[in-house]
Amino acid sequence: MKRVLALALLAAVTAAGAAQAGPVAVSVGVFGGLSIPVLQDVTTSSFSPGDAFGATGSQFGLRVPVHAIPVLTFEPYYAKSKYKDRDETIGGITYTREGFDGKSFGLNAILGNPNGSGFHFFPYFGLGKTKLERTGQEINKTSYNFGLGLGMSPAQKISVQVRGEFAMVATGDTSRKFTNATVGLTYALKP
Amino acid sequence: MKRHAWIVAALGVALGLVLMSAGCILTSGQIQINFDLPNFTANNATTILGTTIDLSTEKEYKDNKEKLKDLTDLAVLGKFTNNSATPVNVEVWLTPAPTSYTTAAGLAGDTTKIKVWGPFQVAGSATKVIDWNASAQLFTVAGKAALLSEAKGDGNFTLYAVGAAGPYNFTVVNGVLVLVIDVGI
Repeated sequence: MKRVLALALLAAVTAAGAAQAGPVAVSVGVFGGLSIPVLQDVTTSSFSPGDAFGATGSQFGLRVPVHAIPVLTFEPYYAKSKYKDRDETIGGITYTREGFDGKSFGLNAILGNPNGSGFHFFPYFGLGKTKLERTGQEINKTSYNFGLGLGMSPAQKISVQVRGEFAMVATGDTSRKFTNATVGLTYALKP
Repeated sequence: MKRHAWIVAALGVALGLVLMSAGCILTSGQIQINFDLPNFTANNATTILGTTIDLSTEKEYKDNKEKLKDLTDLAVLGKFTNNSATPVNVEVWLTPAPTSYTTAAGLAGDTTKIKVWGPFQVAGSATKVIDWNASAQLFTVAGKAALLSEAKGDGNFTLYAVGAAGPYNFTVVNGVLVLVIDVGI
């Protein structure tokens, strides 16, 4: 119910903003970087804080930021991720458990314009759908993410962005969590 | 400018509501528990051996039982040796209550038994260490549900490894049941 309320509120905000819309700016960008599982498949009996983070995986994808209303930029995205296999010795035998392959799509709401001039920070949050697959296991659920980006524009129409975010795939009452750090390059199509 | 401030405030509220609706999904994790199984030989002509598991004897389970939400990953691991010249398809069955059947016929007559895992084929007179990924695929839907029910219930049940059909004679050493549980922290 709360989720529906939040989405309704977001829609109201969007509608209010659209009513005072200015020129629409559309860009297209690619990004890539690191994605690290958090608190996944850990053993608590021998747990140390470093065990909270799994083996570093990779993530890359495509973003299309659309700045149509003041203050906010909406950014559809598609991302693929790949997590490393995990070796574990149990009973004297070393076994390998495959890491997840992930595919995500969704929409980020960015406060401000990530393609603005000069150095600038921009917080954002997003809602999407993520599919995590490995042999014998498939998770296909709603995902949430929020983070902070740093944007800079080295040339006209070009923007470079560094982002750090926390992402989670809701699995009922629990979630699979990840921290992501990516670098992206965006080209302004319009104006 | 006031409109912008209103939009930012509304977005903050929206984000807050989304995170509130997320509730304990933020504070959750996946915990792996390994149960060592005793070495045993299963022979349909003579004896089979069940392993009674009492999850409450495992600290990681005891610590997290009240917060347990789901089973996310499962595997039966170990080294399987087929003592017979004919291939064997190994299956694992569960009886929800602790039992102590010593014959295949005795287990076959138990109407509460549930097939949990298999078949895992081992060629005649061969030894094979099962691959974790292959093992994860061999769990049945009913078996996963039964294990989840046990994990949320009294956690006391018996597992039997037997051949799917025909005469069989195999040995399992270094056997382990791996459970990855979803817990709210």
